[in-house]
Amino acid sequence: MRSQSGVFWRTFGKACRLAVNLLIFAVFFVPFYWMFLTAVKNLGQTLRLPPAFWVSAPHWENFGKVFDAIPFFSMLKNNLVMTFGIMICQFFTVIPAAYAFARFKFAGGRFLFGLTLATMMIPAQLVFLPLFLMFSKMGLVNSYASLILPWATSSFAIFMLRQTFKQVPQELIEAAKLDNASEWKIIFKLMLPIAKPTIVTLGLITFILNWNDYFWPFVLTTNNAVRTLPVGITSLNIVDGGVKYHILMAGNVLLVAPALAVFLFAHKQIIKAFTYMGGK
Amino acid sequence: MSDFDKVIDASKPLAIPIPRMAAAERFFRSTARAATPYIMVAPAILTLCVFVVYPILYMIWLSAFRWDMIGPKIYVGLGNFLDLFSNQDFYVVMGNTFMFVFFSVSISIVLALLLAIYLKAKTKINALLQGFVFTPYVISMVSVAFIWVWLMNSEYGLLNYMLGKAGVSGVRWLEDSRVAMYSMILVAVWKGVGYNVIILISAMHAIPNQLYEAAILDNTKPLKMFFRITLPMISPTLFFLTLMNIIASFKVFDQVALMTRGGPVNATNTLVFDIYQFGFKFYQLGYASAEGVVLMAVIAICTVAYFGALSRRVHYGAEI
Amino acid sequence: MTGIELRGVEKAYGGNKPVIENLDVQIEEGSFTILLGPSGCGKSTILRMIAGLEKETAGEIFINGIDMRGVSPGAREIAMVFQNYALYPTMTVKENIEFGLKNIKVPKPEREARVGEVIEMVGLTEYMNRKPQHLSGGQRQRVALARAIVKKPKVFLMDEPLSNLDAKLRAQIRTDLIELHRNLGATFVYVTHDQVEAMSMGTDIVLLESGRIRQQGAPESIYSAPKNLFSAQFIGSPPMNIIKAENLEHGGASLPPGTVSLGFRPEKVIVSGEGRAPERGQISFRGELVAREILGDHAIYKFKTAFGCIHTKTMSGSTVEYGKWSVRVDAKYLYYFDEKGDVIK
Repeated sequence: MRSQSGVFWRTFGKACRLAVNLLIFAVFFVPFYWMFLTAVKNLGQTLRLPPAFWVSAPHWENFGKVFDAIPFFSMLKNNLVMTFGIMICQFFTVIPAAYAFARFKFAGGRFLFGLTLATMMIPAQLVFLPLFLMFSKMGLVNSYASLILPWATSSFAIFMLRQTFKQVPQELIEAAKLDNASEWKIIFKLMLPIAKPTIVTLGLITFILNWNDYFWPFVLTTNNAVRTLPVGITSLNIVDGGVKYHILMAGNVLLVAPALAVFLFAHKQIIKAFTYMGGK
Repeated sequence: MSDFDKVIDASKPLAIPIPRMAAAERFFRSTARAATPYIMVAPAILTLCVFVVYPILYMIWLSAFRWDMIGPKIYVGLGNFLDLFSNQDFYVVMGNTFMFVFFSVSISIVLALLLAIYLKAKTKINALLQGFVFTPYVISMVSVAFIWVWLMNSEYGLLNYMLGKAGVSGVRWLEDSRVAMYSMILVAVWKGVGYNVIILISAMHAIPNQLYEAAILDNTKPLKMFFRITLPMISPTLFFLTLMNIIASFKVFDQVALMTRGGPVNATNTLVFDIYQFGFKFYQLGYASAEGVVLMAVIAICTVAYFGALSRRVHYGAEI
Repeated sequence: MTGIELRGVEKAYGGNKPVIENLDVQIEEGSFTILLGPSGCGKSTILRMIAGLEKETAGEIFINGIDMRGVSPGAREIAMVFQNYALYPTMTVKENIEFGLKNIKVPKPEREARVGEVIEMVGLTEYMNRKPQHLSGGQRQRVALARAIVKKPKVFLMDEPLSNLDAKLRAQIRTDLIELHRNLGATFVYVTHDQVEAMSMGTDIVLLESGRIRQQGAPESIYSAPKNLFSAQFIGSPPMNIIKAENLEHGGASLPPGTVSLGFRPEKVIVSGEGRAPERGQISFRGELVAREILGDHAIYKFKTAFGCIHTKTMSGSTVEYGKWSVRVDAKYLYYFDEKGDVIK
């Protein structure tokens, strides 16, 4: 009797778990499935009720129409230039600053570090207006400079890397000094290899956030010259005579696919990176 | 340990000449050494000054002028703020923003807590589901917005089709001014909840297992275990997550710009979108700057709360 | 002028009271000099000032007669072994050892030859390409030594290099270091708080307390002729027994004028039956044995007497039973200390 009810509850629990698992799966997966599916429908199939949940003859030509509608590859290039431009700039500004803040006591150092921390909380949404005015005065709207330079450093990354550098025992640096290593050699041969996991993590976060960024390239561009993919795709949403959702979704697939592929390939690393970011 | 029986020839010392330095050279070297940290922080600090500190100051300065970007700047003192606070629309915008922040953050945190408890056990299926829940977070807001615009299409969208099966028909997700803001909140939660889930799970995993083992030996019920052990132990994380979520939600723009453009009838117009509108569409730069100052104040309050709590947490940490 | 010389060296941190004041030290070239003292006596600070890792607030440091002011640590022809070894975690054993040679651009063939020689000498050839985290404590210690040896420095500075090892390994490396010192003929300056290490390895001991030298000399002379209470009690295990003179006066003993306390080493004490009267030139205490440690080749006993506790150390075979005994010591083994704690001759 007792064991019978035990079996019942165990089965019931398993069934509940399965149901919840399926619900989570549906909520977070079906929207993506629907995007992929719509991307290979034609206009008629898109507007049919009830909607089809499977397409036997996929309309791959939708992707070609995306390439016709927007300068896809030039936008992809812009996206790459912006993302990697920011990452390269940050590499050269963040590392020495983090090292100096971690390892030197210098007059004004505490103040400058406090300033860095304070700017950590100031979002792009607060400075876009004055920065746009600044860039337009210099004639730099619609330039890579306006996309990259404002993000050429990251106070968040400086803070994180400083923490890592601070954890390196003082003795190691002293040993290197006794080994006749210059300050730069200590940074590049000793500190950077030790901080490599942190740097990779920060790089990953910087890449994802900037690759996906919509706000900044949107407010700082007025034409397609340096427009990035996330901004470019939106022009598929503004079409005379109603939005062609199958084309919009095809464009969306092209935008999402690389990110999804990277995420599938390195999801453990990425989740770890963002956990690390939130853990501090 | 091997024996040190080999003789190293110490009669041939390394050729490192010990420099006998002149006073001038000594001075030069010590100056160069003193300058090193400044040279190292210079690129970062200059970038921050030019692209963060200066724009903020410029914005505050600009908030005291009336300017259309072409004509001359007219000094109006606090005029823009008076305009702001006597503008009915501004109250609508602030109301929308606070509503968005309140609902998206509270729903996201509660849902994340439930999902974290449900998914925290280290199994393969949980790892997979965590991956699914987290996916929207690493996808561009542009994609997320368009996916949902399509799902929420009132005539051909999948959502209404499925609701229709359940007997509810014709929800105009993004066109009905009473519904639109809730639709926005739904999308925000869908995109952001995964981040909260993984942070909370990692906080839960950091709780020492002995606490649970001790509780089991004391015959503690699971619900009590959650409220007496899990919740107190993750409360610092929960608190910080909430604050970060609040700050992030105040900045909402992409979603509004992509899904509703603030409509219908201003129902989803939020602060940053309004700043954008006044700055780039109506060319009222002084007014937009004044709104920017308001946003800055909101973020400053959250930040002060954040660091206030941070110092408290450090204090607790030292006590334990 | 060879060796290392510190003249009037002072060290203060921030605006605080100096931890080291007006210190003069002479370290002979080729000696194995131990800087010995309790923690906080400034011994590590002295070593780090010699290395140039910390800057003296005042005074001068000379290495082989050359003023070291403004000379960077790397240019001082010294090598240092740290307490935690300070091995570069991202480099292999070989890279750790050759890092210093690369930095001064020693040509590759010579570098390879020297690194190979040293690695073989410390017996790590098969671990050459491992990272430090895959080595045992003893192996790491040897890498740290090899990294110092390969530079062929005139001076080796060692900051408590054995404190992270277990007792057995420590004893082994002590003899290795003595051998190494004899083979290299370089000057060793070795910081420790362990008097056993100091006595066993040093040719010269500098005994420090609160930034001041209390005694300097060869181990034997510090042991047999302590200059003051501090060195009498710091050297030797168990430390010298110290008896207050005023207590003793009641016993009718005659002491040199000005004696405040007197001491004798535990190993000079003779234990005999309770009733036995002291012989000529002996001083005797009646006491009860309260604890004993039988250590095989020798034994340590603790007696409670009317004059305080007395430790004795005997090398002979038979074990003393718990109970009442008489402990005696020859007057020629007594040391007399005045009120400042200095020895009365």
